[in-house]
Amino acid sequence: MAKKKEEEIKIPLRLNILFFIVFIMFAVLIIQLGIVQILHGQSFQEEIDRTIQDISKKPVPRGKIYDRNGKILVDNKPLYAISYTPPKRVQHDDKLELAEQLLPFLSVDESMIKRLTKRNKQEYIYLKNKEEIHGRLTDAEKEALNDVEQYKLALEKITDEEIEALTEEELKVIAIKRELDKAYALTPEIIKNDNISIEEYARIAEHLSELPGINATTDWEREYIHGDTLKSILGSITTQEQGIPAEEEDYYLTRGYNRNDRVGKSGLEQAYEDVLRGRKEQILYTTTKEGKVIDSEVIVEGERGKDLVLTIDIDYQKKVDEIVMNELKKARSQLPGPNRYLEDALAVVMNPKTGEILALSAVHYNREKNEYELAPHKVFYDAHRPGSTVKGATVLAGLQSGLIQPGQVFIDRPIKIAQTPTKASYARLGPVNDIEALKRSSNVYMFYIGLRFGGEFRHPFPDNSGAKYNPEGAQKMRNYFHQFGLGVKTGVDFTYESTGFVGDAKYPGNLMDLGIGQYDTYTTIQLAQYVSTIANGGYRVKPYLVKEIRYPSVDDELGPIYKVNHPKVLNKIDVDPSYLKRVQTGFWKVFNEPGGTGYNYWKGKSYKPAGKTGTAENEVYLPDANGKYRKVADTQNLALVGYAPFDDPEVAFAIIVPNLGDVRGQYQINHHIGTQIMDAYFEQFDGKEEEEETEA
Amino acid sequence: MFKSRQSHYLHLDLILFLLFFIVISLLAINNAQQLGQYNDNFVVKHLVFYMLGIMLAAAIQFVDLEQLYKTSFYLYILGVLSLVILHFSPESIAKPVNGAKSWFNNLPFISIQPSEFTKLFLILFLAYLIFRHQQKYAQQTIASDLWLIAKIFGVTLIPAFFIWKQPDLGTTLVFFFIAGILIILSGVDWRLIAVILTTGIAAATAAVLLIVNFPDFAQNVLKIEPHQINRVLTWFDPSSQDSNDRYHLDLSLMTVGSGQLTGKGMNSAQVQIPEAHTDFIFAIIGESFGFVGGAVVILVFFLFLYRLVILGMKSAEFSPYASYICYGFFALILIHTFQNIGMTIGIVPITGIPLLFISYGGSTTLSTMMMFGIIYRIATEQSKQESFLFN
Repeated sequence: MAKKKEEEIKIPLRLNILFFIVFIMFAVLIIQLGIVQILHGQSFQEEIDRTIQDISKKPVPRGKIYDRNGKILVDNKPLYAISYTPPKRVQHDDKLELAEQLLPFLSVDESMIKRLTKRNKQEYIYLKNKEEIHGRLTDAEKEALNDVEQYKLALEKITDEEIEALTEEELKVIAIKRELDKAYALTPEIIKNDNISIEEYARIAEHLSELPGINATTDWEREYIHGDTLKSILGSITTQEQGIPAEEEDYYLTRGYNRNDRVGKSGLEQAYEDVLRGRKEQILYTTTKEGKVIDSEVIVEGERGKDLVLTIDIDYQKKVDEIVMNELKKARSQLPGPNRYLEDALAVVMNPKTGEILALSAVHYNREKNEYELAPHKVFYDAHRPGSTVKGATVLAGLQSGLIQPGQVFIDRPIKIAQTPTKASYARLGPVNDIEALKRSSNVYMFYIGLRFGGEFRHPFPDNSGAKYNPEGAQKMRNYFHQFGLGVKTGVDFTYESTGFVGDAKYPGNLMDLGIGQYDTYTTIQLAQYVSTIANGGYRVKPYLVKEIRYPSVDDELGPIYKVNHPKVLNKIDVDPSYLKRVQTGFWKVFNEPGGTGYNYWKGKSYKPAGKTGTAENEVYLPDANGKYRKVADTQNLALVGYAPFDDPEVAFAIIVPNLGDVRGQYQINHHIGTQIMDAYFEQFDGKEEEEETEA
Repeated sequence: MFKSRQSHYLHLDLILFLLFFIVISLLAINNAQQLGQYNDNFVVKHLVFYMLGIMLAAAIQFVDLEQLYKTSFYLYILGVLSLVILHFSPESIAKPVNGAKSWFNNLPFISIQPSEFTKLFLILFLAYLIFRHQQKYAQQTIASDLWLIAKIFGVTLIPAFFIWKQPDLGTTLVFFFIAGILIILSGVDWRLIAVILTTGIAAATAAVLLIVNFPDFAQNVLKIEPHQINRVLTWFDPSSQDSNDRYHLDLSLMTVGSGQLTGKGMNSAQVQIPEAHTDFIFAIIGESFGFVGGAVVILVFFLFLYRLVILGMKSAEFSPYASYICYGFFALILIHTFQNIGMTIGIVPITGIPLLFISYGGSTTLSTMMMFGIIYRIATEQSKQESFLFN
């Protein structure tokens, strides 16, 4: 009985202890509940209310490019396009489902299927049979690997047979999904814009409500209206696949580009990227933590890129191209032997007072394809010895430095310096003053100027004696040349320009050659700037291609002006105006007086041309069988600079045709091009220029 | 005395408890599906389960305690058999859910979670076992106590093993908790209890320390499931893990916490939390009804447990078997309530055990209502016996 008694007391005691513990446990629950709800409740609520704001940028069409008369050069061709804007946190399963839904509406090209990788296909098979394929992993593998590694391994366990077994339909779904995968959250991505038929477009447009994120929209394609004409000047843009250049990714991303944006990669498209790109429409999306969009607001209105109006006259440009091409063909066909190394003919036509480039043409003979192609960038890129065309600069350098006086006479006969080949003009011209020296293109006159820059003042120079030579003289002379744009950048608004080759001028002969354009090399645009400086009375103007930037317009008319590129004088030649007049007179006589080197071609032209001819000796080097460069021929460069009318110049030009054969009776291609492009100019613009002038 | 005779069959307090649970449960499940994440309407389904459960509980009122006592063994065998069958069932009728093979599913119309019923049957059989033992060994010795403890563990171990293999560690631990409480309340010598408790606590501490300090060893040598290791780690040091559990706990705390003092009211759920209608139902209660509502629910559970203990104590005088049943149910509800609410508010690791009476779930509701029916039946018996004593 005592036992029984004990039992009766023992159990309630234990129950009491136990229940006391239960009481503690429940008290802990309530205290913790209080901590979570009352102490931290506010901050948890704030966390729920916190929303995330994202800005999505919608691309706008690029600016167009027009010629000086408002004729379109580069346009945007509208395309039907299907775009996809994924929501935040979109799952692969959802995208696959969407791809399957799209299949009946969207035609899939063979090329899209060809681009598919093995990985694309594996991922598809995995998504389709997730459980089964995941089950191929052994338990040990599942334990040892993390989720990502398990996924990779699972993909590898998909056999080639399974990949082979994919049907045509499935491949199309994979191809569509691949396009969908390119899109970033909330940012529209064009998934297809080529070969979309109107029927296809309409069918998708009708079913948009069933296709989340899909939109029927328009895209554009860059259209270069005039084909190859000016193509290398206008440049090109990247494709959407290429997007922004990888090596400059940071540069573009910090400037608000998306990775799939098309950007200018060469030419004016690149140089004026900032204005052509336009302003993207920016939409501020407010989303909850789960990614649900609760608000959207346009914070920046989109605006198509601004339009460029070029200084180029496209009609005249085409004529110049035609002239240059025909002449190059003619020169090659008339003397096929001597002119076998002739490949290029380059010409620039610009307004000498403003620097506006009217036309720029370079025709290149592509030896491998046996084709003539337009490569107008060569007028900026390629530098050649210009021969006597630079003599105007040489004479002015002599006058300006005081090394010669106006009307200074030198006797033109061969100069024989010891240990140096005899240096002479094409004939003994006898005593010539500065103007005559230009008219008849006296080398010897320039040699004396060169010698004086080097410190050698003897005249006539005694045969076979040594000449004094201070190499610093070359730099002095070049500094005078730089004032005309020779040997320095012209400042043209293009992505690249060469400044040409600068020799080390160790010997007096080098300095003498420099004075006749037979040493340093110059680009065509440099020569055009040089002749413009002489034509306009000593102002070195910056050549330019973009005349105005216009706001985009809705219709085909040009929009209002955003910015005008005004003519810019880079420097003024610091010289007595009468000295410049002497050079101008010399240039006039070259074309208009019997005995002038260009008289035969230019006599009687009504538009009063002036200019300077040039022939430079050149050599062609080609690699031999061992890859070593060897001289294969002596050639000559034919150059010509000029302007018109003489008294009030409105057009200037520079022409270089390198590497013609060095033979008598050479086809004077420089004059043939020059006269034709001048004739064409005055034929087209005579009288019209008056209007423009009053306008300016 | 007329009044007391009337009340033999009517236990208003128990009925009010049940009504409170049903109402809270339906309101919470309704709020849990506000965010449109489910296709089913769980409120209606849950109400149907409750109706079935109430019918089941009503039916139990016609069963004598003597009859229940006699069938205890067979029910236990039935429970263990169902687990064994489940263990060897093909996936076609027992497809793993969230990695655990705990359900007979893919059957027409119904899916059954046998462990929920086995829990109940185990309690009945353990009560039977303890009662039989005490009858047989009227003279209590250390040896007889040890024999009793061995029997209790043995009987628990068999179903627990199969549940552990599902794998469902949470429910396995519930089984051992029930066994442990019944050992304490079976009256075995306190020194044995002390030994067992010390060993148990030491083992648990060692396990936790091992998992925290040598997770790789625990996983590779002891073959503990990685997700269980993660749970312990998350709970032990919330900042150390960026796991799925951390995500669950954050969501749960955010849900409960944002309810603040008075809650957001009906139909105003803001956070989409997985398993909101089942394991994380208390998070929804906290969000909807705030600290006030949450504390009331905890208090009601506490009062219900108190009622069970009192019933157990009173039943001991006429039927120790009935009292052990009460203690078993007490242990069951205690551990479910504490563990479930505790994980929701971040004081114990996350496991998949439901909040009895409140969480959505067919098997759980049915087995809980069977349990409730048995409690009600015991209360009736107790009421009758009490009136005999006083008359």
